[in-house]
Amino acid sequence: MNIVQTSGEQLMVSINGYNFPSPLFVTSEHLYIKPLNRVTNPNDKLFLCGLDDFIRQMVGKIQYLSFSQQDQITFTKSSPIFSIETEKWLNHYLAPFPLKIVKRNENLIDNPSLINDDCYGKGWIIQIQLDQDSQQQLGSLYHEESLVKWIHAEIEAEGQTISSA
Amino acid sequence: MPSDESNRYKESPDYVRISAAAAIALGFQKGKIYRNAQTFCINLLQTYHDGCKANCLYCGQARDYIKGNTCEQLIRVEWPNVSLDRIIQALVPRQKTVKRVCVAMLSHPRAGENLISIINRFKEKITLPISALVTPTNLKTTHIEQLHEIGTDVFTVALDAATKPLFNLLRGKHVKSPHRYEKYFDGLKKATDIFGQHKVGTHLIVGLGETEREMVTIMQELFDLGVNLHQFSFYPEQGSALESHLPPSLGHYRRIQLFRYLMENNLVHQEKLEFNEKDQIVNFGLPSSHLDKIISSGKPFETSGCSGCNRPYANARPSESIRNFPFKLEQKDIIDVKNQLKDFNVLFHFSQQQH
Repeated sequence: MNIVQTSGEQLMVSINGYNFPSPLFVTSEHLYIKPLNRVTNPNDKLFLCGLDDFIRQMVGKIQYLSFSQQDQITFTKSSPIFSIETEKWLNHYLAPFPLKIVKRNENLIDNPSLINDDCYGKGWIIQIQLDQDSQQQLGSLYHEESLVKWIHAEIEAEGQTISSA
Repeated sequence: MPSDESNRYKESPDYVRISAAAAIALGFQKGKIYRNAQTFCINLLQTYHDGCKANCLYCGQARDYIKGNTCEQLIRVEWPNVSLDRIIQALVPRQKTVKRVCVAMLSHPRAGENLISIINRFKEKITLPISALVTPTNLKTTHIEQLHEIGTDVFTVALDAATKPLFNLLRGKHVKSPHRYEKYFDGLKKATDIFGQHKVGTHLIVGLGETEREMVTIMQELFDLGVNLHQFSFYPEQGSALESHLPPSLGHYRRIQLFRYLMENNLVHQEKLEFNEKDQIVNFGLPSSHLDKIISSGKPFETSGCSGCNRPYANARPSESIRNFPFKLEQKDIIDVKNQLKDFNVLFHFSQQQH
């Protein structure tokens, strides 16, 4: 595992070539939630949400992205938020807790491979707003040490050996 | 095309194209397959700097439609070009998880000789069964004999079109393509003489404009000749002449799948079927309880072809209804299939206005 400083101020953890900026909260479906650092209301913070570097490398070239219920803003827990499709794989992503979608990355409709190219940057999928209850639930997602431990397990489950570098 | 010798196009027999699913199975590229489907057959395709000489309208490699010499897409996916040595090396330790290798010919003057050379190289290092998917246009009888002698397990011909007029229209004289229906049929007959009954297969694509009656007629004729049926659903290949045409309706496809299964298990003969005025199958000639039991098994709707070949998501996107199930059907799949069998809509197909 490497901890590297990126060109900006962000710390990046790299495990076997899979990168995770910090801070990052990740669901068991490899959906990341990353603070946007823009506070509109002290109780409602903005976050970027997308696919983490592990899954975007594992699934291959992303060919299609479709947003669920484009005219809807408020999503309850477990309601579908978007789907990702490759040549051979499909996944419907669900809201891990109640959230509001404040922005969808429309560039991905014509160019979904931006997720492959820059999953934490230009390949973000939705910008979300979380109320205090949902923010508290972020702690139940993988983050910091639990994220590193879980990614190790995911790498080994794929039959790869953890590099010590 | 680079002229530099070191950058010379890497072509067969030393190089072949490998399907995306096979590339994942051999660890050449990362990738996940929906519903945890596994790929058991390594599908390979010859490659030449001057491409395929045929011009099949539904194919992404058609002479008049291909962009450059790279096989951008075939059967929905990209096919990376890989050295044969690398494939053999990757296969050696995977002979328990992989069940078959299939080597497909292009229509090219060197294709017949090279097919034999490629299969020989596999036989030197691996014991897996090997299928040869041939174009009779570029194959002599001596080639068929040699393929048998070197231990090719199954000899397969992609007839694709169900009728002679459709064959000519889509991949023969009409489109200035070298393929001839008679040559294909003759190749199948010769192969059954050399390889034996049911060691020969043929690909048929459902939804190229034929009726259900036409499709089951050719299926029965071929099966009675000793040829096994490998069934495909037409998929509008991006970049091909037919890219904007529709695949067959699910009802159409499911009824043909069901007939194939019943025929192959000697439960029904084509002559016993009943059709409606649109030549769609309305009665399979079996008691409904018996038929329901067979449908509920899900078996008729699994991928057909050589043993071990399951081609996950080859004929439809993962987000679409599965045409050929690459795994055992689950209960929800069987419910869907039963509903689909009742679909008698006729979608517009190529050639309905033309033949």
